[in-house]
Amino acid sequence: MKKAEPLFLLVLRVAMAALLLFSAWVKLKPEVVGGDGVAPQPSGPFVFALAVSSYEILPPSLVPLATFAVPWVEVVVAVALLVGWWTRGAGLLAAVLLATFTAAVVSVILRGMNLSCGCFGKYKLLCDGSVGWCKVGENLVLLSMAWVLAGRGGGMLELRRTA
Amino acid sequence: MSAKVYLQAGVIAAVGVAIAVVDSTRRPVKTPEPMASPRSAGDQRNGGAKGATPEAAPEAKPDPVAGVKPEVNPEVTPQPAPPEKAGGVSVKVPVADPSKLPVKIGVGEALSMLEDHQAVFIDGRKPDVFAAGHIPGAFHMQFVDITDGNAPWQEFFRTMNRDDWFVVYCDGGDCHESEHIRKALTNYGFANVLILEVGFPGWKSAGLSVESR
Repeated sequence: MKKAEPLFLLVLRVAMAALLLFSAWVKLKPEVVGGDGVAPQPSGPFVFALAVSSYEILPPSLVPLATFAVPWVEVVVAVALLVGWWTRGAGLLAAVLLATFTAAVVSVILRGMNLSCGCFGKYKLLCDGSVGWCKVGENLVLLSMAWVLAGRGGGMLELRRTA
Repeated sequence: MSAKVYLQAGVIAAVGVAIAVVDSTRRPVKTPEPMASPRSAGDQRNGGAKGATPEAAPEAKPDPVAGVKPEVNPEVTPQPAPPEKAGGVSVKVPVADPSKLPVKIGVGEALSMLEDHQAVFIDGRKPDVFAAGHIPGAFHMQFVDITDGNAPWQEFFRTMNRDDWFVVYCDGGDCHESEHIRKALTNYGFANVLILEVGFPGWKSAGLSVESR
């Protein structure tokens, strides 16, 4: 078991990085301009800003910053996990992000609101796109993965290991 | 967990936020405006139908498109069957000029705009509930269809005129689908988009006709 742990941590950190990169891409992708009778499609930030404001947690003045800060922090965390640089710090930040998302989702559920979460766009991981207890469970699974990385580090092939 | 790990997390977060600040200035996203609109006592009496007095409107629409005729192109507009009256009492509130209406309208105005072919109705709910029942002649298009470039959005974009009037509805109450669709359409130049505030449940409970397919 002890021997398998570095490999397990490597797989965990690559999986977490891939997920964060994909999530960030959905939120940051540029607008599809359209033309020649083909309809345009709004940019990722436009769609994510709507999702963030529909949660009614942040004041409107902070929505634009959150719209870009969330995906860009996801990108930096993902890159750190992928290359194995400050893996524990990146894992901790991923856990903090996921804990924040989970709290937001729970708050929406408790307020009886009917929203789509804005997490992965049209794609699903374990649950569909709407906010519900399934999404809380999904986030808690991801949070526990991040927490393992924060506690144990990145395993094999780390560029810079944290003691 | 050591202080070093917390420090690393803080530095990573700071780098992410710094990039975000640069990116947000490079391609700013307008903050969606708040859409709150308190309902009058008349709304409650009339099955969710609002009084049409523009003075009472909490957020009057600021002259969306000057000189636009509110008539909808009959070639591209589904022609609805006239809705019935609720319990023998009409909930219809005549709409002479849709541009004088607030963004969120009641059943009375919506009924008037449907009967007078003043607007295309857009149903933003999920396909199964749309199939079970919707406002007669409504065009089915969800927000995700716009963001993903799906067939309904392609058809809408190809066939609808930007000068037309549109009434979007979803499940009423706290459903945000209508607001999102309105925001996206406005972004693409469809300036005349109203929201049926009480959504399909309000329409149905007012006893008005529904169509299923």
